[in-house]
Amino acid sequence: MLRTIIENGGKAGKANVKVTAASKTGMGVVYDVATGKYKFPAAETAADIYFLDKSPVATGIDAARTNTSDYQTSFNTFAAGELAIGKVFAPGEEFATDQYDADTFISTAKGKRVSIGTDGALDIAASTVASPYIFLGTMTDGSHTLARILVADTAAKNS
Amino acid sequence: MAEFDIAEAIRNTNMYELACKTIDKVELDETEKLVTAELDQKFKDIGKTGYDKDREIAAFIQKAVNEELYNAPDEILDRIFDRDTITAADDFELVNAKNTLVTYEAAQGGNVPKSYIDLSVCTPKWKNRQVETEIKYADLEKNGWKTVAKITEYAVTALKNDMFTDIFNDIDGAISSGAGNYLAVGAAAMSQTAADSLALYTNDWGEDPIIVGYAKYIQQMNKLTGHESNAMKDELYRTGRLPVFDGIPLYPISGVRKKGDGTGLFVDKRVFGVAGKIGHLSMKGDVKTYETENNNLEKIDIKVANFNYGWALNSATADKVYKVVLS
Repeated sequence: MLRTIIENGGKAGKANVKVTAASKTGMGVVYDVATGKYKFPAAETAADIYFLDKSPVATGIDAARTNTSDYQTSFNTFAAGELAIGKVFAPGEEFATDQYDADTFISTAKGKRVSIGTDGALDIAASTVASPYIFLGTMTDGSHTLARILVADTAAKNS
Repeated sequence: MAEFDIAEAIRNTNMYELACKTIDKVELDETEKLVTAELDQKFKDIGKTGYDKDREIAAFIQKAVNEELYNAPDEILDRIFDRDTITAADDFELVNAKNTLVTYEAAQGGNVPKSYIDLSVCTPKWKNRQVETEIKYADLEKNGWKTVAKITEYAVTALKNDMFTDIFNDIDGAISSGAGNYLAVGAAAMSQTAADSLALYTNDWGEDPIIVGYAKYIQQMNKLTGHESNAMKDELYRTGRLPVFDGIPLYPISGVRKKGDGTGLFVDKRVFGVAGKIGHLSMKGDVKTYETENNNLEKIDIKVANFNYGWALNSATADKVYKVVLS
């Protein structure tokens, strides 16, 4: 799940690119120019990241349902090779995602920089990785908990 | 009376009520006596010949079960659940939205962080219960109507009791230690502080509250000292129980009446405070009663099946229920 908290209006989201592996909305991926697809980073990084998003269009039997949760699985997963929207966040914007490690994203980690791991999920960045993404704390969205991320204009390392 | 009058009388009688009245030896009115005599004769004949052409016994049990299970009120469950009946090819989902929109103090002319409302969808748990028994021809021949009446009443009670226990076991499991609606008393008896916390949480919701638990715990709550009036003492003296605690109706569950397998009717060592409606309970499809004659062993096998019910709680952690745990 990817929620925008503060976002500049009228942004573009690249929608004609497929994902290489099965993924979820809210994961961070990099764009592989050679294959023309999104893929998980080869090593922990915070550079050139796109965050995956999907429009909640009901398909199949779900089309008959009237009330659906935004967190429904079909609205938040991509099969390998499925088209995804890749969003880029600019400095000053904030977003929230549920693809994070709940054990490390605790209250004492507020203010630390975060990076994307090789599985697409967010981790507290290792001290060697420079990142512009700052962990602001968790927020409640219905019955779900999301991690709020602020985008700074300069990449920095955790001390 | 003519044939069709009797048939009409049978069709219009509440079979479950008739069965209960027979077992409890309550005086029957004219029509009921007629119906009972007719059914008695029919069943005795089946006992003699071992041949139930129209599956009368099954039809009788089926009519009684449907009347009682689907039409009769069931006080506690009716209070805490929205109930309905759905067809066998149906399902339901409960959709809830919590207000998680957040406001921020803001300088004029800018933006604040967005917050979202999410619909949480609760899918129901479905259970299917079945009860089987057999009636010997000798029994039918001798007692006829009374045998079938007894089986009917007990089958219905057993099914209802198990549904009740299933639901409350589920509610018990939904609330875990450390939650805001969980209280471990640390003793075997209800204390004033425990009862106060229970009443506070349950009343706080501002909806129709009830407190339910084994009679022994309700009695402990009744006998708490410090706030008793003369009227309360008189009531206790006369009836042995007080109907409310802090404005909340008390529902004691019998601790001595057991289910068929010897287990208790309710969750032990628990008192629950339930505020208003906590979810949805649906009965699915029709209960079916099947009978199989066995002439070799001179008995009829009875199977009451497809007692299908599903419930979904409004919140996964049963927010509107307060759980008191005693040791």
